[in-house]
Amino acid sequence: MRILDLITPKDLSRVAKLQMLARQVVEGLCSGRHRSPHKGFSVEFKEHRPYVRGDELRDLDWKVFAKSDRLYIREFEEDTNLRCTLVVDRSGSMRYSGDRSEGRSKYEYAQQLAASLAYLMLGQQDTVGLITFDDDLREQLPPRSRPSHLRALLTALALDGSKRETDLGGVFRKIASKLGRRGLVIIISDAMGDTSSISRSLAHIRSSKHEVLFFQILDPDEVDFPFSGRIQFKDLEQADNEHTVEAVSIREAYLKRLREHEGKLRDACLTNKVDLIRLTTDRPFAEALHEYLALRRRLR
Amino acid sequence: MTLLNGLLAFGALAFTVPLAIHLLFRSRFRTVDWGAMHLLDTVVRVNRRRIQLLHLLLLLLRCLLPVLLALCLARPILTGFQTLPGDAPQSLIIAIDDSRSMAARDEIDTGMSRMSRLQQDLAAIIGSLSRRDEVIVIRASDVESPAASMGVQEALRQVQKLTTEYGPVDLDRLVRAAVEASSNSSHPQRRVIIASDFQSQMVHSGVLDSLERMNNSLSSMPIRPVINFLNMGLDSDQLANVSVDSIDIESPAVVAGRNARYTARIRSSSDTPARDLRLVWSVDGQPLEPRTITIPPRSSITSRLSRNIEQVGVHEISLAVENGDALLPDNRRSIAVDVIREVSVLLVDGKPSNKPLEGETDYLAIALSPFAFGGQDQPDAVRTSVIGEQELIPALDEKVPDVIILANVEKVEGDARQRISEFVNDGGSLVLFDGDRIDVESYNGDWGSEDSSWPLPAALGDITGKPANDSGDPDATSPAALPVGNPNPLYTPWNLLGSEDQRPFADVEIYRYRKLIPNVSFAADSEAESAGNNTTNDDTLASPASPPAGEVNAVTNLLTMANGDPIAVSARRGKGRVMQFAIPCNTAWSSLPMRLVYLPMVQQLVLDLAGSRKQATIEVGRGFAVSLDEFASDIEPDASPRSDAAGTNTLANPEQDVSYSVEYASEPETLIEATDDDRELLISSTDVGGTYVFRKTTPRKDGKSEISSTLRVVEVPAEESKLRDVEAARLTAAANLIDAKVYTDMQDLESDDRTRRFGREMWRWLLIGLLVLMIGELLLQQRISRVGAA
Repeated sequence: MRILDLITPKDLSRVAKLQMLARQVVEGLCSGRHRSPHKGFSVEFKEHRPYVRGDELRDLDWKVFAKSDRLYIREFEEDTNLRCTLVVDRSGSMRYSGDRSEGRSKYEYAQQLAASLAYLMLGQQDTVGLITFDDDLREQLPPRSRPSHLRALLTALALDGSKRETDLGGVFRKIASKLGRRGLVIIISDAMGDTSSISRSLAHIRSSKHEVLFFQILDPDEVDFPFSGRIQFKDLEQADNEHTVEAVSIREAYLKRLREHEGKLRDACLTNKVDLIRLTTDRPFAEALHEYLALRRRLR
Repeated sequence: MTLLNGLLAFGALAFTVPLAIHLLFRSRFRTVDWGAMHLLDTVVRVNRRRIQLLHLLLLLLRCLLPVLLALCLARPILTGFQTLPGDAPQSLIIAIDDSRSMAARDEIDTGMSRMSRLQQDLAAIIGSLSRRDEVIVIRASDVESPAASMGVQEALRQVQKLTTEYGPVDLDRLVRAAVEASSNSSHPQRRVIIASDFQSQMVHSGVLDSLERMNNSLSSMPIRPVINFLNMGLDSDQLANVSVDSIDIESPAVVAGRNARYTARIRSSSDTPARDLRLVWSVDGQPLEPRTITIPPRSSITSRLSRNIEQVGVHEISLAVENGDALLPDNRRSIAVDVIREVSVLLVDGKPSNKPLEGETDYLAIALSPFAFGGQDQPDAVRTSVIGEQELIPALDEKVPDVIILANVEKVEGDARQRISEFVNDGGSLVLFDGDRIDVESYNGDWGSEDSSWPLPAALGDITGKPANDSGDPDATSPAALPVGNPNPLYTPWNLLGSEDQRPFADVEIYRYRKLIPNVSFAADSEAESAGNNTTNDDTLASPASPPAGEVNAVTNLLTMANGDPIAVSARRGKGRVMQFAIPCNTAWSSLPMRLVYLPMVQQLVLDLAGSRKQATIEVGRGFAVSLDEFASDIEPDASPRSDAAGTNTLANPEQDVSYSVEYASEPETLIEATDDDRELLISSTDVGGTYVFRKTTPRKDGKSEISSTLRVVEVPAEESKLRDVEAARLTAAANLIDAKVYTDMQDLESDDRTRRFGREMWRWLLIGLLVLMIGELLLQQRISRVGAA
């Protein structure tokens, strides 16, 4: 599996140019582009401060002491690696692909998006892990910064999506316990689940000081419900669940229900300070990603 | 329910098309593997039943659309209202109000009168009848005639010939005539249409009572007709109309060569002043100098004419107002005036004297012929002849006067009494003045022959008061003067003397008078006899609506004392009249002859007696008779009618081919036969107003014909000019009494009739239902697409 199996060279080149900047400084093992909240032995001087009892003597600036006969401590900013975990939904509902998405299902879109992000972040020597899930956790790759780790990520992503149903709330709680140290969690899902459960799970993740990005992937058909005539809707997650209806007769009701769902999801994200980005599969994901990163840069 | 186009009803099977489409589409659907079932599940679960119901409803509507369309085309008819088979022949009885108010133009712009509209409507109705149907047309002006059924074409002709020259219509009689005609009609399906403008005077309380009684007889009829009122008159109050309401003769008699005064009342019902109206009086069709008048809003004015007619006979006086108002026929009114030659009065002096003013009749003769007494050239209206008691019979033989006045004649016995009785029976007038020579017994006896005897209006009683003096000078002594009351205001000739307030007899002093005891028993007997024999009095022959004989012969007090004792009484006897005074006509018992009021009093009295016998103006609807004697006046002006009748009667000679004809309104001149016994031309009833000209054609030996004529004027009462609709509620109440229905539109009437006969057509309602369903289907479809969103 190569990255180019999942993403076109053009998109890949665009992704490579992107600069992923974490909004928060996360802890990391190696120096990188991301600032660490821990002051350490780095090269970049930050400031002097008066010595207080308990400070390491090795941190004293002896030159200042020699000049001024006062004890000052030299402080440095320490750059750390970003510890990112990609959480990708591979449930049955993600297998839907409409006419307007060029045959690309939501899961494929999510694969490409996750691959791009992984490639980008590994290029920055950040550590990237991966968790896929449906009704339970499926593939789990711990965060690594080795370039060879990309292959493992892509291999895990390339597995076909399952036909199982989603239990976002339960899965997220399990994920929270697996995440370990604080870092960036990027959730890629269609968020088709109970929003209150999702909200509680996000709160749980956030309680561990993780920065959370939520990419909601939807098909354009799910956004505007363009169907007409008599349609039999078969559930992609449960084979025995189907509804045969006049599509026109329920369109308004569906759209209303979608607005309600989106509203609740948005509220849940706002409450938990989670960035929610809704993407439809007819949009080039690289553009969407670029927009997001530009937004993060502004917020920094 | 029946269908006119039954085959088209099979089109209702087209309901299977939407049903099939529905079932077909139900089994055909597209499958979509859907991801967001988490959202769709909720939507479908919540709205499933509602969507199913709406879809079923939509299916129902779509199935009903072709069904309703097919039913519309099939024209279903509800036959629940049908009483008889719709194609059964019917009898249509049309009772038409042809009174003058039907000539009112409701639509002045188009000039369409109510009658014109009615004629159009009736033509449409009659034209729609089949050849098997029969029509009976009854005119209000001719309700007494037996109703004849006719075919459609004849009915159309009858309707087109309708005129509007009749007077006020009795709704009760009209309805009764129509109902009676319906009972004699041929077909079991009977309709009665009462077409009128229903003026307020038509539906009075008496009519309501009568209609209520009529309902009982209607209920007992084997086939009860369907009665409908067609009201052609609406908003009469809004119509501006100017009418000549009346023309009256102020003079008690119109004497040839003397001015007579005529008064006309012109009324405007307009809310705006009627300005600069041209008013034209006409005498015998010859217009006089026109006048211009202005009538204030909703008021009347009076126009007077003083005219001298030289020619003796009946003349027509007309007044026309030129104005284009709502009701044109009433802008002109005519009366017939009987112009008499000078009145011939025979004064019989019971106590003649050679001294001036000492004879019984000296004052009276002067008062009756004042110009002759004063030596003036102006002709007097009255020519008097004074004779003694013994000269009475020779004088009557020589010439029959108009009035005989007996002044203080002691007694009238034998031939004289017989001749005077005959004179009165033939229409002459007798005036009796009292005096000291009167033999009470003689006067109180019966007059005339046994089969036609009559008493005087009042029996002579005792004398009350004292004489003035022997010389006749009331100022020489001073006996107590007895106060005089006022003249009877109902006796119009004496209205000229002055009103009641002016007390024209206030300065008259009466010292002595005879008690006059009005003879009321004769009037009562006459009434009983009239009722028992069911015969009519001669006077009532000319007028079918004349009061009964008892009322005619009733005694009228013309002048009374202040204590109520009559001074002058009057009553009809035979064809003539008898008048009695309780005082003499000289100054023996009173100062009356010396007072100013005396001359006009006796003048008016004599003119009234001489000129009141001929009824020349008749109200439309009534009959009248024209005496053959009238024609003699043109041929022999100097001869009196009665001498002509007795002597040179052309009818007495069968060799002379005398013919009589009458011409009136637009009718052609038609021959008319004289009655054998009364020698009269009899018009039993008049259904058209206008001038009726009667002609007598007498062939002469030289081959030419001698034509003499007279005329009568038949006028419509002024009530017809007062356009006032009956209140709608009152009319409805009247109609309800006989289970009739009131319509203002003939189309509504016909529509209801069609419903009654054939049933009610439903296609309009079905079409409306179809449109409603189509709109409902559209709305429902839109609603289905929005379901759950609300």
